Amino acid sequence: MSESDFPPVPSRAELAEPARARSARDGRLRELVDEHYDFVWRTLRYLGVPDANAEDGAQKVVCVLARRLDEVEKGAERAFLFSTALRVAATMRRSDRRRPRASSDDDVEALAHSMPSTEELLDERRAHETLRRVLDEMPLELRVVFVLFELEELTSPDIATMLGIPVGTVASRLRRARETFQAIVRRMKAGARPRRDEP
Amino acid sequence: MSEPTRLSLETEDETEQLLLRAGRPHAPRAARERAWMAASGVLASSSLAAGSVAAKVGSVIGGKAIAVIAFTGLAAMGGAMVLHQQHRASESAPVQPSAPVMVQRAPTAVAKPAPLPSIAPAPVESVEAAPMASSSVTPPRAAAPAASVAPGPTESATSSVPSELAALQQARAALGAGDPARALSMLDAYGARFPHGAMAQEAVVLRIEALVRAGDRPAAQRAADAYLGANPQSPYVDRIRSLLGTNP
Repeated sequence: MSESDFPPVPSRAELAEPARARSARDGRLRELVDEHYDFVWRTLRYLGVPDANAEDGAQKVVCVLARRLDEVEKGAERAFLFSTALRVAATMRRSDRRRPRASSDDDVEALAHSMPSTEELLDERRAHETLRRVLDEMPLELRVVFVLFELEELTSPDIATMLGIPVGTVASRLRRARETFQAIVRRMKAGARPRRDEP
Repeated sequence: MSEPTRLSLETEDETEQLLLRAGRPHAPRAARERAWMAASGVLASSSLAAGSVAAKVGSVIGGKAIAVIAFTGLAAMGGAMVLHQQHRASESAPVQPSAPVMVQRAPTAVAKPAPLPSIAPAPVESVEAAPMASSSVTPPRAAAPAASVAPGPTESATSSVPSELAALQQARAALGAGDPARALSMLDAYGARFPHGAMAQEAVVLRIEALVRAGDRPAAQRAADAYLGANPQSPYVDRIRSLLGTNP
C-alpha cells in the first residue's frame, strides 16, 4: 500500500468537532455510563454471561451506545442498552457453550444445585451466586421479566415498553416467573436438581 | 391494572428474601471506568466518521475513518519500549459479589438479534474500541517529547484508577482537539506515573491512535506490532487494525 492510497490528510480544524457539541456528547455518554453501567453488567450476568466475560460484554454494550449515541432518544437509553445487552448476551452464551466444560461430574452438578443454608445466604456473595443459579434454570423470557421487575425494580409499564410487549403479557410472564422461581428454590432446598420445566 | 408488589416484600420465605435482596450488586468501579474509556474512544472515532472528515475521505467504511486520515510517511519518532504491566493485578470491587475473574480472552463474535424484545435494533457490530482483559500486558511506547503533565510519584494499580482515568481523558481531549503531539506527551507522562497502570492497554491504543493522527504511521505500526505480538488475543486487535487501516 502506498501513500497515494490514502486520501488527503484533513486539517486540524476538520479533525476537531466543534468543542461545544463534543463536550455535550461526551458529557451525555459519561452520565449514561455512570448511571447504567451496573445495570448492563448485572443484566449480562443474569442472562447467562459468565463472570469472566461480563466486563467484556458490558464494554461492548457501552461501545455500541457510544457509536449510536445520536440515534438514541433521550429517555430511551436504558431500553437501548437492555436490548443491546440481550444481543451481546446471546452471542456470548453461544460462544461459551462451544467451550468444553471443566467438569460434567454428576456429583459436582448436584452439589452446585443444592441450596445453601439460611446462615450461608447471609453472605451476600453466596446469596448472589445462588440467585444466579436459580435464574439460570428459568426460561429466558420469564427470567428477563423477573429480573427487570423483582431485581431492577422497574414498573410493569416500563418493562412493557422496554420489551415491546403489552402490560398484560408482562403481568402473566411475571406471574409464571415467580411460580418458577419459587418452585426452583423449593427444589433446591430439598436438594434435588431443578428441572427446566418448572414449576 | 394495579402494579404487583415485589416478591421480596410479599414472600415470607426467608431464603427467597435473602436471594432477592442480593440481586443488585455493583460492578467493579475500574470496569466501569475502562468501559467509559473505550466508549469515549468510540465516540471520538464516530464523530470523525460522521463529520466533515468522512466527506473528505469519501469512502469511509464504518468507523474506520481514523485509519485512513493520516499517513504522511514521517520518520519514526522512536523505537518501541516495552513495559511490563501488572494489569489489573489487584483490582478491587467495592460492593461486588462474584467479582469477575479477569483473564485473557478473545473478542466475542458479532452478535445477532435476540428473539425477545422488539425494541429498535441495536446491532452489535464488532466493537472496535473493544474491551480488554489480560493478566499480562506489554504495551509499547514510542519516545516523545517531555510531558506537559507533570509526572507525580509512581502509583499503585489498586488506588490509581481515577487518576489514571483523568490522565487518559486529558490525552483523549488533546487528541480530540487535534493536538496529537500533546496527547503523546500526556501518554508519556501517564506511562511514567503509572508504570503498572490498570489502564495500560487503553493507553497503548490511545498512543497508536495519536501516532496515526500525528502522521507518524511507522511508529504507530511498530507500536501496534509490539502490542499485538505480545497480546495476539487482545480484544483491541480489531480496534488497532482499524486505526491502521489493516482490517481484513
